[in-house]
Amino acid sequence: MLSLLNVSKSFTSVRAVDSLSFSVKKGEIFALLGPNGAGKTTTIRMIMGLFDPDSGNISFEGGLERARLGYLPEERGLYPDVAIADTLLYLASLRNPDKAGIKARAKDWLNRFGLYDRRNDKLSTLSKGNQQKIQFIASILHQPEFAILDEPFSGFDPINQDVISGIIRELSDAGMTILLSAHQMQLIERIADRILLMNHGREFISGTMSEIRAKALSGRKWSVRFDTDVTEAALLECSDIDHVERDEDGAWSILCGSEADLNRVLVHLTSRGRIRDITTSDITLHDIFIQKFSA
Amino acid sequence: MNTILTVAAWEYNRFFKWKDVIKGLFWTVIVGALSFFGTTWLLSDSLETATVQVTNYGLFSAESFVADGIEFVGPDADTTIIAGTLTVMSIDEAELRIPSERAWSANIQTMLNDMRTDAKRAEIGLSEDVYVDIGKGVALNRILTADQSRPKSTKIIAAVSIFLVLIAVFMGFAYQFTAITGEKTQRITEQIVAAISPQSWMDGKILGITAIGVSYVILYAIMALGITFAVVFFRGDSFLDAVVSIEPLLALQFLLFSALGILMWNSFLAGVAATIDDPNSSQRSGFMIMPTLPIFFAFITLANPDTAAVAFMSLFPLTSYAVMPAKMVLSTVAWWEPILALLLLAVTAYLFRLAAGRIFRMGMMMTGKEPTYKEMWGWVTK
Repeated sequence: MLSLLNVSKSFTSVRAVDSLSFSVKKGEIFALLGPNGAGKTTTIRMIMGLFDPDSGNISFEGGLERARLGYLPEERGLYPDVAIADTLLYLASLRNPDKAGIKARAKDWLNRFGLYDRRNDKLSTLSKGNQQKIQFIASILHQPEFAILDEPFSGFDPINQDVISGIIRELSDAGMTILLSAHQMQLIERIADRILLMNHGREFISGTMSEIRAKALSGRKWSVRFDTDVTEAALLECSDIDHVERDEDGAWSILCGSEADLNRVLVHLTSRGRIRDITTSDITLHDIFIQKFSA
Repeated sequence: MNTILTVAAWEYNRFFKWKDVIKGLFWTVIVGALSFFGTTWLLSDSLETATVQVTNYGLFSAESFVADGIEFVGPDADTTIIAGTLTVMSIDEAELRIPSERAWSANIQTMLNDMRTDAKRAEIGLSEDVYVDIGKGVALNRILTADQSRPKSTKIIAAVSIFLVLIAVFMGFAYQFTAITGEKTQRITEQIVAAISPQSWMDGKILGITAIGVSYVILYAIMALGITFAVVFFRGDSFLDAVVSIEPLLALQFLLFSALGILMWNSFLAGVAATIDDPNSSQRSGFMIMPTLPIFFAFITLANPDTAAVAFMSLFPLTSYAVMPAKMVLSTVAWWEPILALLLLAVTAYLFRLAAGRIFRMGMMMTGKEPTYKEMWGWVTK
C-alpha cells in the first residue's frame, strides 16, 4: 500500500529522517514509535506530501490519490468559530463529493461520540477532549482507504483512549489501512499488526510484536516488592541490571539483559532490602522502549 | 476544479453574510444621517447673524453697512451680545476687533472693498456701466478638435468603479489575512493541504475572496446608481437622459477592469499573507499600501491624460486597472489599448496566483520565522 525507500530529510543542521525504509501492507495497522524528535512526524508529513524528502522515494500502491487518504495531524486545529457539522462536511467534501453520504456518516459518528446534539455549536465551545473527537472524525469521515494518524490518543483520557483504539481496530477490520504514531505503548501493543521503532531518524527495529520481543530483548523482567524502602540508585548499582522502574503500587520492575548473571542480581536485590514478593513477567513494548531509548 | 470551487464557496460563505451586509448598511445609513444632520446643524449655527458694533463709520454712511449674516449697530446701541467692533479710520483703512478668526469677517472685507470702489468711482465721475464694461473679460471660445471626453455620467461611473475596486482590495486583504494567516496559526492548514494541493487551496481562497469583493462592488454600485437616479429624479432632471447617457460597453469594460484588478491584487496579497507568520509583528503588512498607488496615479491622469507616463501606466498591469478607465473617459484611447491592458492584467493575475501557490506550498509549514525575499524568489522560480 505504501513504500518508503531510503527516505531522508534534513532541516538546516538537523537530520530529521535518515535513509528510512519501510512498507505498509494493505489492511494492516502499522505503528511508528520512537522518542520525541525521532523523526516520526517528519516522516508522516513527507508521506502526506507536506514536505518533500531530500532523497529517497515514497510511493503509494496504484498511485493512491490524496483524496483517498485520511490524516490526523499531530498539531490539531479546526475552525473555532464555525459550527461543528459545517466544518466536518467541508473537510470531508474536499476529498469526497458524496455530500449525502458524508452527512449520514457525520450523523452516525457524532451520535457515537455523543456529540450529535451539539452539531450546530461552534468548535470553541467544546471541551478539549470533545474537540479531539471532532478532529478524529474529520480524519476518517470521507472513508479513506488509508488513514495516517499522528498521535491519535493524545489529549484523551484513558477511557477515551480505549474507545479510540477500539475504533481504530474496527476501521482496520473493515478494510482501512492505518499508519499511526503514538506514545501509548500498551495501546499500540494491543492494536498494531506491525511496529517500527525509530530513533535519530533511523529504523531501530521493526516487525510484529513477537518479532520485536525476540529481536530486541532476550533478557528478563522481574516484578519485585520490598518490605523496606529501596531507592532506584541503589538498585542500579548492580551492572547486570539495565533498568528499574517503580509502578503506582510500589512494585519495582527490574530489567536485565540476556547476559546478566541472575545469582548476582538476586544477591544484590536481597542486599538492598527485604524481599516480600518476586515474580517474572512478560517484556512489554514499554519495557523495550524504555530500555532502548532511556539513555 | 471541484475542490477549488468547494474552497471558494467555503471562503465566500464564511465571510460574506447577508446579515452582516444589512447590519453594515444600517450603520452606514445611521452614520450618513448623523453626518448630514450634524453638518446642517453646524452650518445653520455658523450662519446665525453676528452683531457688529461700528464705533466709527468714517466717510461712509451708516446705511451702506450691509453684509450677509451680519447686523451692524451704532456706537451707542444697547446690546449685550457683540461679536466684534469695527472702526473705519479712512477710506483705505479700517480695524475689526474680534476674539478670534470668524468666517463672517470675510463678508466685512468684501463690503468695505465695494464701499471703497463706489467712493472712488464717484470721486472720478465713472458711471457704473463704464465700470462694468472695464471689468469684462475676453470671451474665449475653445474649439476642441479631437474631443473624446465622455459625458459626466460616464466619468462618474469610472471614478466610482476605481473607488470601489480600492474598497474591495482592502476588504480582500483583511479577509486574506484571516483566511490564510489565521488558518496557519490555528493549525488548520496542515489538515486541508493534506487533502488538496496547496495551489488548489490558494486558488479557492483567491477566487472566494475575489467573489466577495466583486459582490460588494456590485452591491455598492447598485446603491450608487440608485442614489444617483434618485437625485436626478428629485432634482427634476430627465431620468431617461441619465440612463441613456451611460455607455453599456464602457461600463462593461470598467467592470472587467475592476474584477481583474481585484483578482490580481487578491492574488498578490494572498502571496504576501502566505509568508506572514504573525500578523501582529510582521513588517509585510505594509504591502497593503501598494494597491492605493494606482489610484494616486489615476488622479494625476486627470491633470494631463496624454503624457507618455500615463500611456505606460494605462497598460502596465499594476496600475492599468485604475489608470486605463480614467484615461478612457478623459482622452483618446485606441480600440486595442483596453484589450491589451485587460490581457496583461489577466496574465499578471494568473502569474501572481501561481507565485502565491508556490510560496504557500513551501512556506506553509514554516513557523517561528518568515521566509526571506531570496527564499521566496527561489520558490517562485523553481
